[in-house]
Amino acid sequence: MENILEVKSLTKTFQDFTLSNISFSLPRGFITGFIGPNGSGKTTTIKLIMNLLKKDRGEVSIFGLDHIRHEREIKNRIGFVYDESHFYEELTVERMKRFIASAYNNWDEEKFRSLAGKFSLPLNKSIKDLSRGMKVKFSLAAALSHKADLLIMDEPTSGLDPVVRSEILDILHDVIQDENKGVFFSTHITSDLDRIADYIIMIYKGEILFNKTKDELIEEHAVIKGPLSLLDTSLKNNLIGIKKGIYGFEALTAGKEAADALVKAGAAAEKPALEDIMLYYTRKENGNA
Amino acid sequence: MLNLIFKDLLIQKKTLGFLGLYIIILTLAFQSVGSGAFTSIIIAVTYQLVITAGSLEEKTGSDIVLNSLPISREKIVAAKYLSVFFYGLMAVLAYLIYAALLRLVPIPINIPPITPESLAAAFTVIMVMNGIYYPVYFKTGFVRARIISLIVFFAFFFGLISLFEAAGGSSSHGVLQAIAGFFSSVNKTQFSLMLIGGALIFMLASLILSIKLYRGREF
Repeated sequence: MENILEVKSLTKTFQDFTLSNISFSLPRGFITGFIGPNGSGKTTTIKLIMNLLKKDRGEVSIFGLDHIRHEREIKNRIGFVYDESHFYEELTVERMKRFIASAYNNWDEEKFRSLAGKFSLPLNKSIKDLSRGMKVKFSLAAALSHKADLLIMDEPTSGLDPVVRSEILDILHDVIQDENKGVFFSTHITSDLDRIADYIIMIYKGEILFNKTKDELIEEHAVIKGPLSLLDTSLKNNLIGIKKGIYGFEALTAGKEAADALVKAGAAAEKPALEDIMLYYTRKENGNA
Repeated sequence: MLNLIFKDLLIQKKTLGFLGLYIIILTLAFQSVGSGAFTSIIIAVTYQLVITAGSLEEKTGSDIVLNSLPISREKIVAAKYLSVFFYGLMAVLAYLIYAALLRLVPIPINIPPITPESLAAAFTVIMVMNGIYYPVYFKTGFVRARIISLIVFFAFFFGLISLFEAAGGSSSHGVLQAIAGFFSSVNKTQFSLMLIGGALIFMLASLILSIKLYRGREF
């Protein structure tokens, strides 16, 4: 089955930042987490995919179609949730919904009503009077009410309390039960992805560091804790993002053999969380081994 | 397209609510302008609505939502141009209503009637003004375009008031008197049609330029 999204050699240069030649793809039927610290290029990548920024080079195809030549057709099948609402503050939820609904060919009013009920959306309230959580829920309800095949979300859960975040993650889990749909979820809160993501793409300083299934990523990495003396041996070469303390060090290692060798030499190995992997890779890129 | 225009009206409900008060104040303020008061009021009201819509869109960063929806950039631009005519017509309608109400008040107020020439002058100016403003708006966004808009508005607004004062004989400025003299000597219907036609061509050229500029805009 063709990928739902393919990005090839995408490049965009700003005065102080470059998104360098990035390539990745999203298979259908899965949630792909797009991680990286703030300022890594997540939002830039999403804006380029949505044609809100103009690429310098590269290709983006969504549903097998060029994202610029078939822009309207593609956007009819994309649901989007951004980190800020950008909706007209003066309009009520109902009025804003009507405006959004008029733009889509496949608006499903029944679905919207059902989600609005589930999220307890106050339809007659002005957007400006909604809490951040409610604004995100409204975005999500709108994104899910036009039979979208691809959901693109840019930091949707940042600044939300754990209860709302959990509700949103549950909804995404339901969405992905349809094997033809896909979710592209950018975040720096990796614990959300620990719960629901199938694939993880990490971007840092405008470059893709890895693109793997979450299980593969967690399986092949380990958090290593050991004495400082180990850092004087050749085993140090197997370590990523070393963090030294007074009595010992902590680092990440990739590959089972490397982890086994370190454990044999006296270190302890733990299964990493996505946050560990992101942090240690970030440290590595900053020059810490 | 109509949804985009309707949305621009809905987001400035508060401004629309004050439209009547605005028209009454301007009518009272322009007592010395004579027949030009109607033209000046239509220009001022339209300017106010265009600027308010732009500022509210800027405040919410709504270009991001509009351009994430399946709406073409051409449609977004064209709707803004069409909304100028809607605002102009709304201003005329509101003027008719409030002028009728003011006539009921037992105080001596000069309420100029709407003539085909003053209507043509009003629509010519709002088309030219917005024909200059919108390409800058679509290229740079509201914040920078607002400055251009303000300059263009005051140039046209006070230029026109001076011209009407000259036509009414209350200005001694030679050039203005010469222009006013020229206007009074030509066939008014033909000249009005020429003005409207010229302004429409200008606005069409401006629309094409705005579409080109907005296609390349980044958010």
